[in-house]
Amino acid sequence: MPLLLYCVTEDRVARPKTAGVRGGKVDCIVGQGLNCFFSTVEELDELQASETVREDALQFHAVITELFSHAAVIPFRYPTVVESAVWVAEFLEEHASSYRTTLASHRDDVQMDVRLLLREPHRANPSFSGKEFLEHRRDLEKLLENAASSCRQTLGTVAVRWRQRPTREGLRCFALVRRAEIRVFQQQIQTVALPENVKAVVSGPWPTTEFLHSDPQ
Amino acid sequence: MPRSDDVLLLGGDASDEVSLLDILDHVLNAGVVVHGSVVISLAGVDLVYLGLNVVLTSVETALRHLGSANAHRLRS
Repeated sequence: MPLLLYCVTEDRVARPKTAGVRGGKVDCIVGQGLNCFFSTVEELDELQASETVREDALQFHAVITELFSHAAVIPFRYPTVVESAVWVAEFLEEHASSYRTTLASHRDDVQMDVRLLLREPHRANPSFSGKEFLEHRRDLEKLLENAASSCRQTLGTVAVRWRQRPTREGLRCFALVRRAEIRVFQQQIQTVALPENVKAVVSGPWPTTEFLHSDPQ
Repeated sequence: MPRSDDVLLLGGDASDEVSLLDILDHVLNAGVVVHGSVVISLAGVDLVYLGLNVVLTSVETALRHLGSANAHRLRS
């Protein structure tokens, strides 16, 4: 029977009490010092139903949230469906070493997201020359970079690591934060003085998906 | 001195539309992507997934336009 995969954790993590997608029982496959949590999918067609996909995705999130509340997790992207437990066992064997290392190193970490957004969206002025357009765009990028720098400076060592990447609407930043410092992060980020045209939307804690591969910035 | 609406903290409550978009954004766009021929191909799910992504590309636009007068919340 096909399996819907939720996440991988260290093998000391207990099964969640939260029901899985469509009420399925969440079980786990143990191997290589890891747990891989899954629920079975009886009717593949059910996952295709557009009217329930939002609820299904939220239930998936609820399972991840319960596990993540007390352990590091490596989530699968929803919906990842594989054909059998044998496939999962082979997958765990293939990735065991790197997953064990990652989970151990992120045991006490969470990820906080900071979206830096322009209050007034960038609109190309029809009267701009090509050069003026590029200069305007560069100025906005600089503005967002400055905002990110202000955030990092204000957060100091609370943000153990930091990553950022441009998006269509602004700059998306990710901070690696110790679990014990989530509240400190939330308090400090509210004291950041941002440029006039920039606002920040903060969310988290999330699993540390942006920091699963180790190349610190 | 920070302005009062500079920073919006999302509470993670899925009944809040903006938080819901953020949650779905993470569920659908973050995490391990499995590649391999043994993964069951769900053409229909792929279509749903693409459809959701189209919706989710507007998440930042929604966040930017979000009214902030009563939006400051701290996760408790």
